[in-house]
Amino acid sequence: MIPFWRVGVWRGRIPAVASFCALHTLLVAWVAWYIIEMHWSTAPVGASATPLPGVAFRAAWIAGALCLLVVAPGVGAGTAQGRWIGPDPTRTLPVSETGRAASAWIASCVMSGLIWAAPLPFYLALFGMGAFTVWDAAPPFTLQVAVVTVGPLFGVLFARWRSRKSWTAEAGHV
Amino acid sequence: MLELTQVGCRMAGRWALREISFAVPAGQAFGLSGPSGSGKSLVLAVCATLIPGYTGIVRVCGEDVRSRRSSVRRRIGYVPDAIGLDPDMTVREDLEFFAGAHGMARQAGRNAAAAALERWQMRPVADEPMGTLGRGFRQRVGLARAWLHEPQVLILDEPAGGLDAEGRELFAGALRRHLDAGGSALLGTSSADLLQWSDRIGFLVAGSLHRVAATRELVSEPAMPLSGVR
Repeated sequence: MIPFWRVGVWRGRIPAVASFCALHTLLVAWVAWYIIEMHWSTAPVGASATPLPGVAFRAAWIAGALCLLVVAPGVGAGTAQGRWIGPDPTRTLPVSETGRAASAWIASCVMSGLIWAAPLPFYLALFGMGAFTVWDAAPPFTLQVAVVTVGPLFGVLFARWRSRKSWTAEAGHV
Repeated sequence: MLELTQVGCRMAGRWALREISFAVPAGQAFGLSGPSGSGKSLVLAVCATLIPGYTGIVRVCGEDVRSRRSSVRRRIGYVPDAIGLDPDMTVREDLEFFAGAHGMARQAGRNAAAAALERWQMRPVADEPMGTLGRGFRQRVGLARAWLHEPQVLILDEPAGGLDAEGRELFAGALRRHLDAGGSALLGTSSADLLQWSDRIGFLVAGSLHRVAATRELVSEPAMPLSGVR
């Protein structure tokens, strides 16, 4: 399990994780900025720019949650599947299915967590400009953390099921 | 060492294997031959713990493949028909990874990988990414992985596929040493020159074991595929 954790699940993943971090941040920033722009365009001349409207935060976190809902299972599936070309050669290693799935799940939770955390500076900026309070943020962030921990599990289970199916199909190509 | 008793397996609603029984004692190699689609790879996959849904009994070194899967996996070295690899990993990294997965400590894994690179004459490509390797070297990587932890039973599906003359010689030498050391091997192949390294050969036809015979008997039969090989 240890070498699988060290090599199998992390190798070559950094560029993909960085891309998803950028995607999540850009999406959240774009949605919030769009709402803020709309709000400012209808505000009377001379009105204060802050506090920002709460809807900017709500729209941003909903967009972020939808993004994570799509990305997290994909990260889990990709991590469990590995980067093998051809059949997964680790299928006959003396590593238990549970240990292998747990390694992939933990690693994909860490990766999804990084993707989740990427736009935090932007959220902090919204917080600083009064778009939401700490109490407003608690339920959405709890939901997002649930998505980045449970989402990868579905991906991992799907990848293991598909891997078993492909081995069986290949061997059974009689 | 390897024993199959009345093994059957259903695939896509039909019996892909029916009542397969044979044993491979220590120090012997058993060749499984037959036309494409006869079930050779499936028999090997069952022995390699990859197919849980089969009927009958398969034992490796006395341990049941179905109920003692992890223990069986420590005792076998499996070369599948197609070698899966990470294109960015170097050959050395790959072998060290597999050594670690077999429970070797880091330094022991490095030593085992270095020995495998030497044995399979892969030192010139040791630090090349595997995505750049030709088919022959990829096959050597597959063979090196299977031999890495010195298994008692080798399960080899078309082990010489893509190997050049030098690779075949290396394979033959490694197989002979494995058998001399008391190991056993199950070879699935349709290549006649490989089957001659088997002590006995079983012919599969449509999922059934049609005939089992000693290789030396078959070599003398003019109608058999091995005639004239030696």
